[in-house]
Amino acid sequence: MSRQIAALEHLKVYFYDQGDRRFIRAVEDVGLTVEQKQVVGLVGESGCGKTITALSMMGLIDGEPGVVGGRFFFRPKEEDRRALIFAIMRGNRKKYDCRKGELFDLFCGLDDCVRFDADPFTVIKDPEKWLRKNGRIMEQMRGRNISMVFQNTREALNPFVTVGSQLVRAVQCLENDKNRAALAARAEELLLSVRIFNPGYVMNMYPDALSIGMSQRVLIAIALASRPGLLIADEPTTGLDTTNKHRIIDLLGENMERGNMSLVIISHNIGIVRTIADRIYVMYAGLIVEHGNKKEIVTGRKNARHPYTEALVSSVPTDADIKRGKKLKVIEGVVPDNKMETEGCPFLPRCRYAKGGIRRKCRTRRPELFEVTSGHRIRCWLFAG
Amino acid sequence: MSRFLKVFSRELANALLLVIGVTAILYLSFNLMPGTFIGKGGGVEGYLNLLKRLFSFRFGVSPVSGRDIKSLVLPAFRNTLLLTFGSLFVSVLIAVPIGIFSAYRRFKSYSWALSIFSYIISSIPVFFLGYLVLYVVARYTGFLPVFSVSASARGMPFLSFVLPIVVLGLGNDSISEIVRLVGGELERVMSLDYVIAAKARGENMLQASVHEGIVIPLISIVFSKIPFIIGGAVVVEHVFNWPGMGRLAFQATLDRDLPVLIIIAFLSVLFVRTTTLLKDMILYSYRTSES
Ligand SMILES: Nc1ncnc2c1ncn2[C@@H]1O[C@H](COP(=O)(O)OP(=O)(O)O)[C@@H](O)[C@H]1O
Ligand code: SF4
Ligand SMILES: [Mg+2]
Repeated sequence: MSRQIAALEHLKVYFYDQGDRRFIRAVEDVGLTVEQKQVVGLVGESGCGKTITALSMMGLIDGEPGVVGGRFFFRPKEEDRRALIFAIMRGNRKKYDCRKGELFDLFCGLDDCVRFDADPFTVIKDPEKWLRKNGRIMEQMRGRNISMVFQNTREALNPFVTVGSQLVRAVQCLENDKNRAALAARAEELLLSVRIFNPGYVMNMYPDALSIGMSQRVLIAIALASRPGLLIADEPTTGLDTTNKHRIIDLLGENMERGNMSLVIISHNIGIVRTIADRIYVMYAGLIVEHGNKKEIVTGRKNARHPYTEALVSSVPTDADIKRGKKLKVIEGVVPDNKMETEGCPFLPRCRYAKGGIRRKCRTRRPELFEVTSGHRIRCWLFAG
Repeated sequence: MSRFLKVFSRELANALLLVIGVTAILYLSFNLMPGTFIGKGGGVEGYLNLLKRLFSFRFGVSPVSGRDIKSLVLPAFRNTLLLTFGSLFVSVLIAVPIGIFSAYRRFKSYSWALSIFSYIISSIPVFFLGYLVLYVVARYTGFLPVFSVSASARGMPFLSFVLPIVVLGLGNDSISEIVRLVGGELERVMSLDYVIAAKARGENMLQASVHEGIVIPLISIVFSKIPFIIGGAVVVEHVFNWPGMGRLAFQATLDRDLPVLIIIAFLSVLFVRTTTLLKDMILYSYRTSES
């Protein structure tokens, strides 16, 4: 087994809805592990909490109370470890077990900021304390260790600054070289690595003169500038045409190999994720409902997949389906509203398999992630014991 | 670039129209006052005559004091500009750091004290603050006189020069407004996607949001504050004996020196409208740098 770089455990992210006066459970129990040089895919319908999961790992959740539970173990680069330990220890009166081998808990101190009350259900969080603590830790990690490409391509580039300057700023996060020519050369090199073949010209452009495909490449180049150990790409292909989609995926793959980088790729489209990912996590209504390696998820044996994954995969047409002009399958029903207090399985209203004796269990108790084979887990009562 | 010229000429025409309109009103109202000046009582022809003199900057001689108006007004004008821009600079220097600090969410519980401080400073009337400062400096430092440029050779030239600027910088109400505007805008911009994206890459958030969050709001507020600061300057000029336009205008009013008054009014309008034009063009070129 190769080395782990990141392990997210039992992430809980809640928001408070002022209007309805109740908590929204945006992410309820998400865990994922990423190994070095591995590509991990995170798929699920829009609104299931993928972006929130990514932002939590970056320490960038905007909204109260935000992250309320979980741990995020991460292995920093050798040269940043001291600074990270210092940031974790600073202001800690109690002793924490913030370390697991070479991995450090970036959510260290969270338990001190959050309190749960059972009846009525409330979460009390000290947002300032958390921001100070988590901010100090994440300042050491963002950029060189963990970085993210945002979902909303057009709005993720600074409209007031040229592409070149933005690249240079990103390069400076890695090596604070004062030599302008060297910085510019490195920026051009980065643009070439995302297959922009006229870097000198593009560097002088302002972002809103770029097409979406170009912006996405520039954003990837900027994210690669600091050579992060872990890159999270949120919907990197959404809004692109098919050719561009595959180019972007290829690019990510190439640069990952080259840069000794791990990648978490997020998409609502399992067809895109399966072309690149080694492991896939399927998310539904704030929960991981299944995870395993690509083979098990995409072409699993019949009756060895979560009903939701099965529906998700069969909604992507295969080449044969397109040739035969087969009708596309859709998943019936709608994504549940996260505000709903889900006692049982959240997929129940749309599930074809919840019949007979098992149905009562589906309605009253939430299934755990049951292990089917080593490394393949399914959150469904059909696979219990 | 040609679009810039088009917008510029349109704004310039607007500015000229305004200046002409204001001078026309000045002409009409000055006609009602006792005393005389160029073109008085001459109807439209007299007005045109006045305009010609104003725009060619041939102001003539004051019938009251017998002095050349240009040599009277221009130094005063320069002194007022110095006071205005100097005090704006002081306001910005104090307000911007407070605004930036208050925009950071992680410092919220410290920043309210600073905001309150900025409100208190801004709500003290300028004349009161002026006399207070004079009193304190004169009494506890012994640097005297602190209030006269002409006498400054004997006292503390630096003090008599800096004190009025600092007093006007603190006492005009722009500090709290700049704090509020810059703080609010910066906080908004700091939650925009591109700033969060920069933060996600480990870059400095302030650097990413400086254009939209600080420079643009600062330009618009600083320029729009200029007319009010000139108003405050009149008071400060009095308190500190600063030889500026305000004092000159006051003296001219007492003397019924209409030619001097009309030229002061003209120069003020011209100046205020020029700064507005400047502001519009700076903001315009900022916006178009995006495309
Ligand atoms: N600031 C917020 N306040 C309240 N609810 C939020 C907030 N941000 C996201 N949510 C909710 O969290 C859920 C997950 O959103 P998101 O992670 O963006 O979904 P996706 O999987 O499409 O990326 C959504 O249902 C959304 O309504
Ligand atoms: S637990 Fe029940 S409802 Fe949920 S997916 Fe499995 S069978 Fe369907
Ligand atoms: Mg999303």
